[in-house]
Amino acid sequence: MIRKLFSCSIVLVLTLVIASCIVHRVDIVPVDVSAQTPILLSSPVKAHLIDGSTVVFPEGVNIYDGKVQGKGERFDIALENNRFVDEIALDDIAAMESFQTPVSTGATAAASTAGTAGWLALGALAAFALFGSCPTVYSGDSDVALLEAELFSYSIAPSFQARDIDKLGLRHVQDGYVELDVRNEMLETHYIDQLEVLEITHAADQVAYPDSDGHPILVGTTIEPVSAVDQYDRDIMSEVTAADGQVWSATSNRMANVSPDDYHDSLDFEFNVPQNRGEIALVLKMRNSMLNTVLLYDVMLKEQSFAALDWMGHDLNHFGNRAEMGLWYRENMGMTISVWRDGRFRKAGQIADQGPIAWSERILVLDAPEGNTVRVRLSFVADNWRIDQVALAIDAQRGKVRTIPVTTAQTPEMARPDIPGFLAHADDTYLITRPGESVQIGFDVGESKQPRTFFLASEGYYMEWMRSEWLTEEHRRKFEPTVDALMRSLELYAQKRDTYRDQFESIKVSVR
Amino acid sequence: MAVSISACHVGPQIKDLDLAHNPEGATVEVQVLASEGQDKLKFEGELLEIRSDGIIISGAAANGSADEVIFVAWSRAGRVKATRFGGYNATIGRSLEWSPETKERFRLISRFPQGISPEMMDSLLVAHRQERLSRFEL
Repeated sequence: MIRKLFSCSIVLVLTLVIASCIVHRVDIVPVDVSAQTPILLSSPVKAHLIDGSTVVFPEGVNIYDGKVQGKGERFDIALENNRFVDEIALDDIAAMESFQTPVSTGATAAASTAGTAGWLALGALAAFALFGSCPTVYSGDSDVALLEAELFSYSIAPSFQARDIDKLGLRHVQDGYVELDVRNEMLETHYIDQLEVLEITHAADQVAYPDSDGHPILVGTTIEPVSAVDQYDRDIMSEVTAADGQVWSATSNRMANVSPDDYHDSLDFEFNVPQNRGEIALVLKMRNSMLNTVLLYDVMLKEQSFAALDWMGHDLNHFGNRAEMGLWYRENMGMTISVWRDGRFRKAGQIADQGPIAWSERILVLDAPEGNTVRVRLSFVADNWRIDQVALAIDAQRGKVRTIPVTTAQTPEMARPDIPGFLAHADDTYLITRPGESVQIGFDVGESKQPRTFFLASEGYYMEWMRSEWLTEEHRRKFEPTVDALMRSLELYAQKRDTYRDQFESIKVSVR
Repeated sequence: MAVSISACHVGPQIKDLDLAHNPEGATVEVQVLASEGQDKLKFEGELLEIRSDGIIISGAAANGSADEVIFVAWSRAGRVKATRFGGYNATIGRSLEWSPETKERFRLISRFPQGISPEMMDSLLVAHRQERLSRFEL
């Protein structure tokens, strides 16, 4: 039997009103759907028939066995002679779209009534989300494009929109101008609400890092640990003392022994702290392993198959679901940093997942130590991180930050003077990119006689395109944020972690 | 918490959005650039189709002309705004740069994202009591 393919588009329309927080957005996530495969869409659907008629299904549709079923109203091409229908043959349909309304955390945050405080707190928890790949940013500091950052890698749905900050490795600024290439290299649609450069000037012997809240922190000297061991007391000093590309990862033996009773890794470090050192802080250079990507691709999306469309576009934007997912994610993912005090390790902070592509540097200011040593523990789900450097910094302090908006934008085809306006504020306008697209953006940072470090602040979200291999009838398992889901992710990840990064890199979309 | 949730959920929901419940495409405003012998015009009407060579709407000019189905070539299309989706105002299109991305966004809010076949166009013209499509081209 001939299978007819049609394009099923998800049109996301967001309209949320509280005083100044009005957001309007229309978005499309196209998916090729086999007419023979069941689909359940619970939000309004419009079907466009080959003869020019339009059928509206306000309560959604159930698609199976070559038919679209639901309570529909059919209008002819003149929009007259409307009649109610229960069923349409897929062969009569030329195109369909589903309408969904996500809720924007960013827009909600604009509300300032006291009554929103609890909502905002839970919204912040939900922002610790998960990632596939997200927008990548390159600089042309040399002849070769250098990967600088991956943006808001944890924001997989509109309600997970969040602000991110990444340190840029730029060494030279040509004529007071910084150019960055923002690329969409994966099968995703990126919604970039805001981009801006943060500049911090400092002394020649100071280095700047972003803290977990996105504030740049200046530090003086950094100190290597005097000891570094994993939970099995294995010496890991050679892997974490220098940012040299020799990185820590869990051993294969460790991954083979992960169980529901033992699925966290912990790494312990000890530092000697000099006297007269000012504020101290922990400096980390790391990126995520592919565990989170397996969790998103293989467990959250592939296992749900078609239901993942509703899950991303509808369920995740429901308050209760978002809060539940946010709490679960916060408890299980990211990295917890603890410091030894009063006879035990006590939590000092948490770093959210940073993404698996670009290396990320983060800093966490610590309380003054009790003596001349500091003992630090990093704990996280098994093998969730690749860690290149762990160091203690002294003389940590906040610096003065200057914000620089996007000045110019250029696609490969043409100058786009409209884009800087889209990216100026986290508001109702987005730069939307699809696979293979890129935008070169420029920042007029001016000249400076003082050393300075640049950060890229970004806000937005992205949505995965459902791969055809994920859309099969045998994958129909609703995602529940549980230990069991994490175990399935760890099991799948352990099977392919040695080759998965190469596979992931190989499916990058060429950017024009 | 109930107070905070209700506060945050004030505003339009999908159930109120006409575009999702009615067959029409989005309402658009189209500026038709002046050409030899023709002044600049502004049309407002239903977005019917986005074509590779232009845009088709069903609407009337701001000068009070009758409602008709018109084709505006991209070379004559100035600013095009999709400002109303039934009950709510939203500007998703305000483009002078007709990039493929912009066209795609408009296509998906048109009445006929699948395109208008010659037979369908004939039916549309009959419904509008037009003999032929009004065209604005260079």
